[in-house]
Amino acid sequence: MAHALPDDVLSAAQSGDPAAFSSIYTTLAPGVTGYLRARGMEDTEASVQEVFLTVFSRIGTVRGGWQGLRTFTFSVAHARYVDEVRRRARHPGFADYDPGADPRTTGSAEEAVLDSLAASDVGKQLKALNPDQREVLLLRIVADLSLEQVAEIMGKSTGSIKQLQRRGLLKLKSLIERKEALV
Amino acid sequence: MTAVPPNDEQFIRQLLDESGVGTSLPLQASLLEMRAAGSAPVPAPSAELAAFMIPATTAPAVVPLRGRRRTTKGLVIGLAVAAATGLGVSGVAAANPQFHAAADQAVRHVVGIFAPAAGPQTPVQPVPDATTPGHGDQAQPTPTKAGTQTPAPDRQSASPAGTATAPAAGTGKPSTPPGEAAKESAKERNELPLVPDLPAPSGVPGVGSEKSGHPGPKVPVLPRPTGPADLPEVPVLPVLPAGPEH
Repeated sequence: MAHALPDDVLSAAQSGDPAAFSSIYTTLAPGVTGYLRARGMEDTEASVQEVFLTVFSRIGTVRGGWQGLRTFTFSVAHARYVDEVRRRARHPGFADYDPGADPRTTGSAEEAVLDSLAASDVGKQLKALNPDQREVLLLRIVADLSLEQVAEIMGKSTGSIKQLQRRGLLKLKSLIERKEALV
Repeated sequence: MTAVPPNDEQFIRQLLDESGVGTSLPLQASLLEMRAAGSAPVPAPSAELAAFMIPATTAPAVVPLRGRRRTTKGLVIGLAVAAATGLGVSGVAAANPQFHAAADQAVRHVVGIFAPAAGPQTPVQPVPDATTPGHGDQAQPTPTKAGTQTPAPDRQSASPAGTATAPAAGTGKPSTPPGEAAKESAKERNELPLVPDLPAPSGVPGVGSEKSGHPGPKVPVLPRPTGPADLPEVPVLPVLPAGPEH
């Protein structure tokens, strides 16, 4: 999981230190990548690049040290996902050929791990959740954000986030237990 | 805070306790699997993104561009100042009638200094040379006179002395004209336009003499070639009658 960076990384990045940008990307990119991939973005890598481009170009507006930077980064990623959802709603879904998702091919070990979530049982179970419940669980578990940070990103109160998280976990548990019972 | 837990299992446990959800192994396994997605390998940053992470080395390349801009700015500013000054001067000239008088005097003074230059304008005069070679001797003194701004009177005085001794007249006249020039300098500035008329008969030879001052002697050489018309006339009259008589 992403380890915490000192708060002065943000100030160093704001002063244009390339090493600070590099460490921020190295530390936060895995979580952003996992979050966007779990959300089923069409081009996860390009989306990750765009997210960090936005974060780095607006690094001067970030406040709150390391945690503030994490919140801001996932806010951008969340907005990016919302844009994607809206774009899909406006345009008909394309059935592009995705070699990575083609079951007839044997992907690398990394690809198998990366794509496992969206295509795995957990991914299917997540799709059965309410969108807000799914978002809360991904931001809490994959992005490793606190309740307060998730509340800030989603524009909701901490209490409502806690409720969404509880209901999401309960539904997930029931889905898993139902599947266990069926098996 | 559950944001930075010691490990993933503890985090999942805290999360479930926080929400009051009973723990089960299948649920924990699924949540751990979800958690692992947050450790996805990092895609290589694009060139645009990598630009943030690479120390900038383009600074020296920018410097020369700035320098060029400064030089062009300097040129533009210089031209603008020159144009504004010119406009100001021309504006003063247009608005102030006294400026016209002062400028006129200044121009006339300069023209007086370079009065010989008015003579040189006569290179057009080569045409008259063929018509009146004899006047060429008279014209030679006039260029020197033109320098003193008293061409007309000198010619009249020089013409009697001088057809035969043109060089002598050229040298002697500069001495006399200064006095006349001092007297009539102001009056004859208006007569300067006459200068081109006077040298006109002398033609090309006068031009060379005016510039150097001494060239006076050189000039007579040129009219002499034209002179042959006179020479044949003189010998013909005396020689022919005398020849047959002897």
